[in-house]
Amino acid sequence: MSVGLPFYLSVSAILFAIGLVGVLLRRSPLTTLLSLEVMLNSVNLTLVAFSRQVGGSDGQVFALVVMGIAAAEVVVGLGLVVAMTRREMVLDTDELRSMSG
Amino acid sequence: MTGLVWTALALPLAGAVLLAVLGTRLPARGAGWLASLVMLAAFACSAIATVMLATRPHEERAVVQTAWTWLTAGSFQVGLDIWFDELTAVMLLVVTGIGFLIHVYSIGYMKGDEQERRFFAYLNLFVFSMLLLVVAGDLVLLLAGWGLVGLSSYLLIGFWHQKPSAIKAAKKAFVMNAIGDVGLALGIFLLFIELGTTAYQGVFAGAASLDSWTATAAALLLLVGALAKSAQLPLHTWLPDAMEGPTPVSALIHAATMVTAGVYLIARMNPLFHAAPYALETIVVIGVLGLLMAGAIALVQTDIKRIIAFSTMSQIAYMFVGVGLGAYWAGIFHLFTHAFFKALLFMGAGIVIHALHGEQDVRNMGGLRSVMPKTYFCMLIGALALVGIFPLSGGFSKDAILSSALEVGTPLAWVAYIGGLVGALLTGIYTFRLMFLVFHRRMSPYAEAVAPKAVKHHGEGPSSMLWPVYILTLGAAVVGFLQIPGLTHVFFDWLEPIAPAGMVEPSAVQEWLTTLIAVSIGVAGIAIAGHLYLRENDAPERMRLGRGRLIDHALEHRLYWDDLYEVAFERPAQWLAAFLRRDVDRPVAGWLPTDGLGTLTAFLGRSISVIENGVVRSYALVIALGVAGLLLALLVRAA
Repeated sequence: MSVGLPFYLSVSAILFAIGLVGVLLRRSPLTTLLSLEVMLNSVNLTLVAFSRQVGGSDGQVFALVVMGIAAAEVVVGLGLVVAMTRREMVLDTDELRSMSG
Repeated sequence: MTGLVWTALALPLAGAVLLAVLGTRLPARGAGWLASLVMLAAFACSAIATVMLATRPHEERAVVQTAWTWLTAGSFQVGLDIWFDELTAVMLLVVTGIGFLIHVYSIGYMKGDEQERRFFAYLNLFVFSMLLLVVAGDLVLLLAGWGLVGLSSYLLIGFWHQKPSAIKAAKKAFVMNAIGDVGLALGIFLLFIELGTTAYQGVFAGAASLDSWTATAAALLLLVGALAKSAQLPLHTWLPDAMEGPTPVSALIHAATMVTAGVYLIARMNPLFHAAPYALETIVVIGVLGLLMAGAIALVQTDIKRIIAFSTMSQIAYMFVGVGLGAYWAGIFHLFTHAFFKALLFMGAGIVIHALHGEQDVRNMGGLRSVMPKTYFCMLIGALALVGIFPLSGGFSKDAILSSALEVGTPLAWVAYIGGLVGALLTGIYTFRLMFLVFHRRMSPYAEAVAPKAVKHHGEGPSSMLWPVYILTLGAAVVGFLQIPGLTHVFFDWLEPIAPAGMVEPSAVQEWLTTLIAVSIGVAGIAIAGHLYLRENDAPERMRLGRGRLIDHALEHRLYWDDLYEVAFERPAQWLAAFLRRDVDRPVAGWLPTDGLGTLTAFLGRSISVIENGVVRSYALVIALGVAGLLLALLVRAA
């Protein structure tokens, strides 16, 4: 039995759900970032899977773009985490609420 | 060749942006040099481009180039077009050449001002706008330049924004120019409706096919724009007030370049105006009235810059007469020579004002000839050129306009001819009234206390102020030789192709005859001024015309134009506002709790701000739920 599109999509959906739960439940900024990466990459998997199914390369290009953006985003996020650690701030997203309206 | 024109256009913009971005990182003195250097480069580009244009055969001299199309709507397209021909070349040279000299002059004039950098950024912005206006190959692009010129003029008039009078003058100029912009825009709309294009080529080609009423309407609407920009009747009241700006601004914008844009517009659009004869006659009438009125008002002004401002208005009115008669080359020729001698007069006045620590009232001057001989000599050349004394430049160009009236020969042209000669008399009187009051006679107590000391310490001015004046003096003396009747035809030949329907050219006999009459009249004017103002015993600080007070009063109040506008527009608007407030607003809305709406808005704001709790996880939850909801909705609809 060959591995078809439904399998890829199922894995992707599971990964996305794991990432989403991580983002919603975990309070450490570092873990939140990791969960975000999982979500982004699950979408990448979908893109590549569909691209393969259709036979074009557009989806793969999109996946590459997403990777680039994800890398940039992680740089900023990790930079913030490092800066917060240096200032000995509490690493808890629920405590970091100075943007409250 | 077009590359050079693009470069000349881009350089001042780059200069303005650079000055704005660098800001205080640039030393204050460096700003002026940077701006001047940019202008020199732009002038070099223009000069080379003009030479290249001159080497082309006649029929290939109008060059159109589109950089890109920036506005498309159906078949309507507006490109970033430049139109480079003989007329553009003349305007380019005037704007960048005179502009460069005035930039250099400003280095000395603005020294010590805290906001020198801002000044030079504005100045460069102005030059860019003006260049855009003259190189535009499309009416929409012209309108963009037209508006930008108005904006930079506003910024520069109000440059000393701590002075309430300067702010008021800037606002007035802006409003007046806005009226003109509306007229111009409506004219362009009309042309677009009729011809379906706003590119010069299309408009010129289609102008002849317009029926004469449409053409006249369009031409008159364009004329409204020209009148406002060139400070002609009845939209002229902003120009004297614009003298609140720094003197280099007056020299560059309100004498040499911007105010001549109206003349340029008419000369440029000559195929359209040719198809609309009533419009041309209107221009002549407005020109004659304007040159007489401005000349008469200049007789009684006491502010040195305002005298020159009214003189500018009067001279531009001559240009209007020229283009209105169909002698486009003569109008542009006068524009060209006027740029030299009027910038010179303004810059000389600036040196005088500088030496007197900002004093502008001619009654507080006098006798400065012995203290400032160099300035005196230069301004004398400028004044003689303005009066049109042979063989200085102003005479050739003014006589070209007047003799064109002879050549046309219609009754209206005769009125223009006589009016122009009377104007020449007025020019002689007011110009030399200025010269005598400032440089001759006994020194006023104020000047005696200030001027000798200032000149002893600093000389007449820094060399950055004196050298541009010397160069302009040379120019004011010799540029008229480009067009000596019967001998040289450089200007006429150069501009001949811009008017497909032909231009009026007077014969050499007519020109020499006019010169003879005009010069005698000018000398008579100088003699009258000498008779009135050189005698020491009685001190006629103002011109008194007869016993009646009425004329004096009218002239001192600039023939009541400002009062008229105040009564006609300002007061009714104020009355209306007061009426609405007292009789409409209070009775109708007075019963509402004064802050009912405010309280409601604040309550709503507070209740919504609850969701902005600052917790990232809750935001993520809302986003996730939203996406889920959207997907669900899509699924339901698909099913």
